[in-house]
Amino acid sequence: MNLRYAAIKLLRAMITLWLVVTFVFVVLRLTGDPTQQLLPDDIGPEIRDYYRAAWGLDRPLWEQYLRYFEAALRGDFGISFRNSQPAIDLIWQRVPKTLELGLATFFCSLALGIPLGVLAAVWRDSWVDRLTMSFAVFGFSMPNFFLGILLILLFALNLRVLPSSGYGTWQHMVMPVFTLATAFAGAIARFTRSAMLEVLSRDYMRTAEAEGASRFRQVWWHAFPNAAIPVVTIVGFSLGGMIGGAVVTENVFAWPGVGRLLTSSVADRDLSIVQGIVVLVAITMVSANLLVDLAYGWLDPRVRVGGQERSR
Amino acid sequence: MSTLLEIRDLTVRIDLPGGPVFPVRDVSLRIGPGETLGLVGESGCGKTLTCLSVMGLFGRRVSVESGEIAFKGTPLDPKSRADRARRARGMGMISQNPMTGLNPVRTLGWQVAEAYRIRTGSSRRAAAARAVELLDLVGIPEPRRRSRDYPHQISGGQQQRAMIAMAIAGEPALLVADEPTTALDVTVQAQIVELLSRLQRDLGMGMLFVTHDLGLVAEVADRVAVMYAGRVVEMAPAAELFARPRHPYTQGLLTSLPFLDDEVERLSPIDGTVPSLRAMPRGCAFAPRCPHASEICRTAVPDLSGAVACHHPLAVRTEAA
Repeated sequence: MNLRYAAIKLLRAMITLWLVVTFVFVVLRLTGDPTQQLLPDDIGPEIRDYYRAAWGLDRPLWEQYLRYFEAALRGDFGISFRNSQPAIDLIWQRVPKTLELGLATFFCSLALGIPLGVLAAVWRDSWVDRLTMSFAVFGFSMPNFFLGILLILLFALNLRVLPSSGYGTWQHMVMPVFTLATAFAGAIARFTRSAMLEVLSRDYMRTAEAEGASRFRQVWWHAFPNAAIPVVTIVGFSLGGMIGGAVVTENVFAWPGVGRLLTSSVADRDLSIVQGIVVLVAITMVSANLLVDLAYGWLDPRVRVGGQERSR
Repeated sequence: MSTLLEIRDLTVRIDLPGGPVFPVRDVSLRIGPGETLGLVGESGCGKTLTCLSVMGLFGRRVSVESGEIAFKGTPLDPKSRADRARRARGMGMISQNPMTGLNPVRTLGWQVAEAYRIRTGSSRRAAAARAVELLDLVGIPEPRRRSRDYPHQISGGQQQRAMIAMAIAGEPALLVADEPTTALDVTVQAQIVELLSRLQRDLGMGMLFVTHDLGLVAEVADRVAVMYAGRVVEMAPAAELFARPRHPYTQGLLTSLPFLDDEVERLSPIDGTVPSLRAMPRGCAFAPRCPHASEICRTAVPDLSGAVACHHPLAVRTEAA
């Protein structure tokens, strides 16, 4: 792995994160005084001023920013206005639950999307292809809240085989994971199919055929490593979206993860929590993109050696 | 003489949206063990498709309409798995463009070893060792180190050498070389041709050498078949073909070649263009461009009896004439 390549990517990731953190600060301060929202309307101005001083809202904006930024570096996003605990602790309590959902979804959508996409490409225009692609279109065009509610109606209310919402047993995971995975698996399948179709028409596949490689070998040993390069991009996006993207689904299934914390905190204007979550989502997105870039280097030798590439 | 490859009346069909076309018609060729047959013609005359048919590489729309291809005396069925394996073991192919013919994400060593392993069923370790030997055999310097390189890291000439190493892995009896030097620099072309001739001699392979370069054919081929618009129009031993072309098209090709020692001031190109597959003339496909064409040329397809498919073959010039 080219060190320079990795270093540049890492630097870019840091700059992106800094921009996001700053943006969050600016936007949230611009949208009004939190004390107006959090404290009752009929309290006296001295009490309001007391809280403003306690939360540091009376300081000049640049000082607030520096304090905020310095604290953010330590992972400190302040105290939750609502229940006086450090915001980061409240968020961390939720992260494992969202991660549980996210990772299960991630592996299910990979395990489903990649083989289906490959098969659709190999048996192009056959019923396998058509069936897979209809499934894919259905998967990512169906809104999560709608699919979630349909699933609850069917499995929880009518058939009574799965709990409608909540957290605890593996049965609780089935519907949220299915809801999330259909969308991602659909996108991955479509992407894999088009990447494979492109690769299968290349001259080197003819070379493999001429050598007498079996169909299975041609597909998985000669073609797929090439098709994996573009597929990694969409997979990376899904990975990054696992934390932020589950907001709707977590709410539909009352899953006690980061997504639900985010919606309730936004409703309460609990600034520290919102900031913390937005930064957390940004970190996952940026790390996912960084992973994608590094994976390119690992999968594609033309990227790996960077500088010493020769002209064709 | 025993026959290594025999193509009998091969017609290849491509199904296009506007209806089928037949870019290869009634082609018959034979190659003996250790013999080189040159296949010459302009682009689009069906040379490449003939090669692909020999290798059994039919795409989604391509099929054999009629005729057959026999390898070592036994006909090959394009659909049979066993015949596919027989073909792969017995034939190696070198394609026009090594840049696109090599897999960009696999090392050269992996690709040569893969070709060897599939054909011989040897162990992974033995195949890797053999791959280095093969890279050495085709003249790649520092083969052990290069075997860990990827295709984009080496030059076009080296890439073609690697393709050749893959094609000869497992020592096939027949090498199909489809314009192996077209994509290369002129200086490299000669080296590759020399390498192919040496390997062919050392390994005793038969070779189908396809090119549009008449000069090259004169150098490597024992016999030459000239193709025009999907048909073989003339077939003769190389020396004879160049000395005494009998088909007007062959003669046209030769007089359009620049020779340094020629006294002719200007080259004479062949007037007109190759007819399209959709608008093939009823008679001889070359008739519209032929200075000798007569009524029969426009109505009846001449067959390749003897050496030339022409109603009015050029007279065999005697030394006196």
